[in-house]
Amino acid sequence: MQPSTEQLQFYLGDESGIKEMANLPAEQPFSEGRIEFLNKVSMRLLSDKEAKVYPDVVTYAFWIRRANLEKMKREFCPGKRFRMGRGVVFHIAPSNVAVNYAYSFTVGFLLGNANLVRLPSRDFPQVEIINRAIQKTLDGEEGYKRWKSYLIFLRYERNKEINDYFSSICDVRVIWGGDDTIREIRKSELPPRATEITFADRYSICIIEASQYLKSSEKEQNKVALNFYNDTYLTDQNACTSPRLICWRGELEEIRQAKEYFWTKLWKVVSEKYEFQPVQYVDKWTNVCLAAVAMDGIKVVQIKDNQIVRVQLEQLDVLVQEYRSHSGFFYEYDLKDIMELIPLCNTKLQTIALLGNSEKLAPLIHSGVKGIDRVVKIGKTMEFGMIWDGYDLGERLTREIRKV
Amino acid sequence: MEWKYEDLLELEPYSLEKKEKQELFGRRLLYLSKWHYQSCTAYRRIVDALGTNPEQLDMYEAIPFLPVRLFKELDLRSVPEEEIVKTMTSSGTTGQRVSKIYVDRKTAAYQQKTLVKLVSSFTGGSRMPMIIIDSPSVIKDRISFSARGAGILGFSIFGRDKIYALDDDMKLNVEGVTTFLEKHKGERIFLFGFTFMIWQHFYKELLRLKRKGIFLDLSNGILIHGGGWKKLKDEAVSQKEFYGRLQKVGGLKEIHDYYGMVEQTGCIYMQCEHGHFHASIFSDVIIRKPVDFSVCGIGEKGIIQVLSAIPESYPGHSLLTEDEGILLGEDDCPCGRKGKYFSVIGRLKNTEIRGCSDTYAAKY
Repeated sequence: MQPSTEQLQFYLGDESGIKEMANLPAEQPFSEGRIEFLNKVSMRLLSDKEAKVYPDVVTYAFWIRRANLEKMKREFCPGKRFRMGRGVVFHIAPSNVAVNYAYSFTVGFLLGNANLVRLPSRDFPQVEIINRAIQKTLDGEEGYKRWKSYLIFLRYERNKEINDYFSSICDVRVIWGGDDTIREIRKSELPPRATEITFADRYSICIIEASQYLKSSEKEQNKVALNFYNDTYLTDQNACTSPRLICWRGELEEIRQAKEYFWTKLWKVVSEKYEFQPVQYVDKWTNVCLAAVAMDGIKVVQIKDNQIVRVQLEQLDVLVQEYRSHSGFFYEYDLKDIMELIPLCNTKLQTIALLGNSEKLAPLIHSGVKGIDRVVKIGKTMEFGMIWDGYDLGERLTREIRKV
Repeated sequence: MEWKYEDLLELEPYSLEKKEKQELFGRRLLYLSKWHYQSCTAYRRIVDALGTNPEQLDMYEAIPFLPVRLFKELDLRSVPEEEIVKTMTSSGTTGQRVSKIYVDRKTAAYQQKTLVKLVSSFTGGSRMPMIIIDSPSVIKDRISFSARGAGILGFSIFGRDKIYALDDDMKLNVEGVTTFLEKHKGERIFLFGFTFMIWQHFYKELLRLKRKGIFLDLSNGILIHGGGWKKLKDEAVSQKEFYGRLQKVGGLKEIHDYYGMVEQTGCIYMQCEHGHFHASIFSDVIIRKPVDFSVCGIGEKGIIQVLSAIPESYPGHSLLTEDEGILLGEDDCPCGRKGKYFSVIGRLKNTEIRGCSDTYAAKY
């Protein structure tokens, strides 16, 4: 049964659109019209003064520029194969990251689908800015009107009946975690033919080769600090992609020196850019205590103040995945052998942010661990792509039509 | 050597100046740090992680402080389980974790004796007829104490003839209280309750009665209340207004708030005639800067750390609260009491509701 209007707050589209959605034709991926439309949204965002304040909005705007979309199209290129959108994609956005919903619907849209999006529950200004740009583009020129029916954005209070209904009319359900949300939404049945993509709670780490870090110029080291800041503090170190454990490789003395430079430079960036609420410090301090009780031989390493909390591990303990905090709480470990990481590379481990030679990770990746879905440079952990969390979204959100 | 709590109990609660207090209170605190380090594994692991050596501490400002939230996450004890005589819990709404404080016979006795010393220095030594502004159901369970129950039981020692002003449905027992006041006419009456309960179920009812022409004369009363202001702040009622209104409806003139928490039961910070909270010789506060936990000066806002000389059965002698406060001065409050005096601004933004009487408020 379709939910009543009072239960739904629409930010794009309306009630009548929901009924129609299931009957909309699916289209071929990366159609010119869709690329053109997104490029228009990009231009609108890039000329929006308010948007400039939010680096995540700007990054998204660049991501949907024509040049990048064309590049994605080339990479998608099914060759002789023929693919079509699946139909209706129901996206459940995460509440803790502002712009994920935008990437989620954009991929669904580009691949030829209609998109029903449950927006993050928290009121992010970024969401308003992006939605406004889309709305204006839809209303702006005659040619873009047709996309209205393919995009419905809304919010609703946790409600199983509404989840039931939206699940019953979709062809693909995309759930951005946490695990509790996934469990909750999975109580709502999908049609037999529908599929699901779940982005569960994940954990990310960083590996730094001390000698390579020390070899780089001061300017490069400053850039590393800024990049690392963007990987962590920019999302309160609360995204799945945010590194929470830093593993150092190299000779003891190299590591000591690299640590000193790395943290001092990061501290400068954090002091300039990040605004703390006192309660965040208390949260981090509480986690230090809990970790100390749970794990053997941990040591707190002071770096000027509470803005950066460092906890040195004596041995790699899988419990670091559980005892995690946010807003600048880092475990550190001096790796002797890359294979020491095996126990940590379970299904929880998503991204390795790397400063060093990725070849050296090969034995670990090939060892058969269930985790590690991406290895990226420091600063690129948030960079979204069609391959995400180990899923090929280009494949998952389309179907292949076999012509013999 | 062991610094006995009994030594402190011999003294007047607000009698020590800074230097003497550093000496006596400081030694007891340093002793407690060593005791808990030896007796509580969790505490030892935390102190070790910090790289602190409790044998080498010389100032009690250097003693590590545990975040109060830790008592919600962990069972922290410094004596064998079989020596625990009661477990106190903080208030918490359904589904919320509550603090668990494990108390043995000795610590329980210290708590009670300390409370007596502190409160009687305000109320005088003799027991008074007492009105408890709460419902009797709060203290039904005597093994597991809620913060509200613990507060009521603790303060009951100051009363000789006791009456609960509210029934199990939180309704004012007008007849009972009227008879009680009649019986004790001309005597000094002791009233105790939690701030929000008093506002919601006592004051508002007195106001209603007064409008109907019924006046309960409490002008001989002394009221002590605690539990925090969160809910009253939400209703935009200041302390001054609260006290003014209580005087209007019941003639109550002598009212003292206190700051305290179940994690340091016994060591309450009483509010003096000038509206300041006072540390005693049994306790101290250190206001800390959030960014580096360094010590704030007078007049500087920061997170309140509370120190208590009482706890032996659990490592709660030095705690970082989630409240903000300001140190107003030391040894020089116009009321004449020695020691630090301070004000409490309230809970740090964005934390779950704690405090004694707040749970109930969250429910209704």
